[in-house]
Amino acid sequence: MADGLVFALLGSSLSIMLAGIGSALGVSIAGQVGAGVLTEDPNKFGQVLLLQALPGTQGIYGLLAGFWVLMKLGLLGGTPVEISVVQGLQIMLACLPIAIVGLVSGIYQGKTSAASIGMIARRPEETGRAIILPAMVETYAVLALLATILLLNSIQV
Amino acid sequence: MAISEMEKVGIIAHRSLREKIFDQLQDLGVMEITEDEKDLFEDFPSSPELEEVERRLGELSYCLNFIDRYRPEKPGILQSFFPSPIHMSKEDFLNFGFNYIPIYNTFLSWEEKLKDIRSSLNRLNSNLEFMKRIQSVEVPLENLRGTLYTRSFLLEFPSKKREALEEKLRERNLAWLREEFPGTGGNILWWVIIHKSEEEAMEEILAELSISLMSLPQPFEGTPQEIIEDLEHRIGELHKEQSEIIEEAALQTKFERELKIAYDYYLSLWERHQSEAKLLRTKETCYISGWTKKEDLPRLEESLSQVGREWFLYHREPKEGEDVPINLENNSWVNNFSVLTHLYGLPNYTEVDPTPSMAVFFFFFFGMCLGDVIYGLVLALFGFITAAYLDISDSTKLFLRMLAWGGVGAILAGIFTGSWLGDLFDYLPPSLSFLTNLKNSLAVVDPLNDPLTMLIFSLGVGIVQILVGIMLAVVKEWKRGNYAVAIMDHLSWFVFLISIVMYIVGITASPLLASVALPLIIGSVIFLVATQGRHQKNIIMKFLSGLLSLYDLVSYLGDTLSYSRLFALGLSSGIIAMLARTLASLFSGSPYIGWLIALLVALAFHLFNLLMSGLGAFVHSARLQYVEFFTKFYENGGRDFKPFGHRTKYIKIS
Repeated sequence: MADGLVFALLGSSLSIMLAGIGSALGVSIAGQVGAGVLTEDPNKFGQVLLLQALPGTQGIYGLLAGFWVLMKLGLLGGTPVEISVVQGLQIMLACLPIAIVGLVSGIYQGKTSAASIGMIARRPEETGRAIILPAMVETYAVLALLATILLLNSIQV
Repeated sequence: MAISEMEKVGIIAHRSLREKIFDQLQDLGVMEITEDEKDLFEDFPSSPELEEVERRLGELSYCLNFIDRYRPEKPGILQSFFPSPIHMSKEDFLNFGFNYIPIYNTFLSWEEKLKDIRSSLNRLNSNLEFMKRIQSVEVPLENLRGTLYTRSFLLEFPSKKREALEEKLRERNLAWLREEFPGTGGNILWWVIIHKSEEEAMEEILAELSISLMSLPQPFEGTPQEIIEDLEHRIGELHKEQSEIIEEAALQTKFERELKIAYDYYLSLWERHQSEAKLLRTKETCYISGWTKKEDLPRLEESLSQVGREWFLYHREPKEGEDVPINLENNSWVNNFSVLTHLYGLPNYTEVDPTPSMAVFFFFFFGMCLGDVIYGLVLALFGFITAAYLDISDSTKLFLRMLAWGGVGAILAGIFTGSWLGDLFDYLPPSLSFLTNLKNSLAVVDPLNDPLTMLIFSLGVGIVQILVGIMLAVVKEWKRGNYAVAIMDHLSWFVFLISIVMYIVGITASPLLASVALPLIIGSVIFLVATQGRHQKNIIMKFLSGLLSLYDLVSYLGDTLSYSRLFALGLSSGIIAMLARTLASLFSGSPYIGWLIALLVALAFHLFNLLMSGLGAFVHSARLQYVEFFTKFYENGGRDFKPFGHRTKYIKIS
């Protein structure tokens, strides 16, 4: 019975897609503010790029979770594992934390990054502190990734 | 160790020595000059010299900005991140003379000219646009003015209104003459001449059909075609003039070095005047007050003795509540991490410097988050080599060395978890199998197949840091003589938490440990409940707020769980590295250049991963220090020690 594969793959794609969307939105929100700052002062490119990259991690976490599922199913080299519908659903559910939290936290981290970019526009010497603020939001994406990894690891296939 | 001991210094000198003393102090650079009696300075007039220097600084920074704006080649990324300073000896710097005024005036006049050219260009371009609309009109525009008995207009209207207009004009039986020209955008142009007396009737007709007269933006002479040619010629001339000035401006980078030195020269002079303004004077004496490091006192006295004898120096230890500037002193390894303390905020004078303990934890945390031997190696080499060979400022060097040490931590963590570019070393050709064996024999945990062990290890490291944090709080309060606070608020929690850990370890590993821990837990709980409500007056409130304080356990639990990120981030960089290998191996099957594509894909992916994981490792390790560690004991609020010296922006005085 290999019917569960559909659900497992759905889970894998969901985590890659939703977390990726979250990061794309977040990076774009930060980038729009960054572009405004750069028109005033092109010398801040380095700091602005750094802050813009911060909400990009959710997409990576999502990719990571999706990749882990593929590895678990043996789809990347090796012999594919046959899984039941229940196992497939379990894998899909395990993917949800990083998928959903990645989506939402990516957007909000982008907003915080945008605010931090505004901060270094006026006070460039505060770059260090400006980087820490968006990182506080990312904590929850890291925790969701952790949950996904632990859940996936506990499912026997 | 840690926070340097400071001394308050006061120098009273005869006024004749003032200049010389200031020269010495600025050269020596060990004393921060402060204003002693702040309220005496309120209506102290700003000195004219200071204003003069500020004006010059403004002019010089205008010149430097101007050069920057018209610089032909922009500096590279590396140069803009790590600008290299200009090296100069102190004598050369102090005797530097450069008359920048002609340059400043030239720049101003160029700027003015460029502004004029831009506004002329705007005007000419909008005229040109207008002329293009009426290009087909073959009548000289000066004729629009009319004659003694006639009026002439230029009309632009959609061609479908033509018949209606002709109809109306015929109805009124006006004396009129017109010539039609093709217009743009579906419009036609009419040149109309009427008798002066019929002007009003004409206007009525035009209003009925809502056709408006075309008015020229300014009087012109000649046909539109001629005017267009003239305009294009003038625009071309202006463009040429503009690019000539810009080219000339681009050449001015040759003065950049001199201008920067001049800027720093005045910056140093500014600081001098600024400090001199903080003097207290009488008719015959002046009084300089400030701070210096205790160890620098002999040097200070010695250098003053070179000036003359009409001075007196007194010094004392800082009083309680005084705003003592902070200078951190650590060994060179710890000093690499002092950037992080500066980012958060310096300690105040009465507490301990958190840098040494934080440095150790940051080193390990960064290592665990990046967690790969090869990545660590790359980062360490990059950091150490750039710090050693690039001509960059000292603070940038410190930062690079901190990253490099983080890389060393990553090498250790990578060996521990067996991550060498992810799992690449499991796929080496047989001839290199000794490397695979080396990797496997050194690896202790496999976080992929045994995540729980790694997770518990991360949390364990976190508990250690939290306990160290609480212990530092105990030490701090003990040193201040607040024994009650040290024991009741901090040590009790230390015992409580450590006995909980012992108990948890005990029930899985050794029942003996658990049986020791249990009474300790009960004892510390009773102690906490009994002491934490001591500020309340009512006995019931004492008990209740004591009980409520146990709720803090939740926040300690939350702090501990926060360290799980160490595991998650370490795993994430490893898995992305595996992903790079997997993707690359998909390409390696293609004929002929498959291996090349695979190599490029793998390189690009690994580089991306190194950048993103490195950023994550830095940010999250720093966060753990700031949010989980510092909150346990650190008060901060210190002010940086800024000795009076030659402060420069572009120059490094050697």
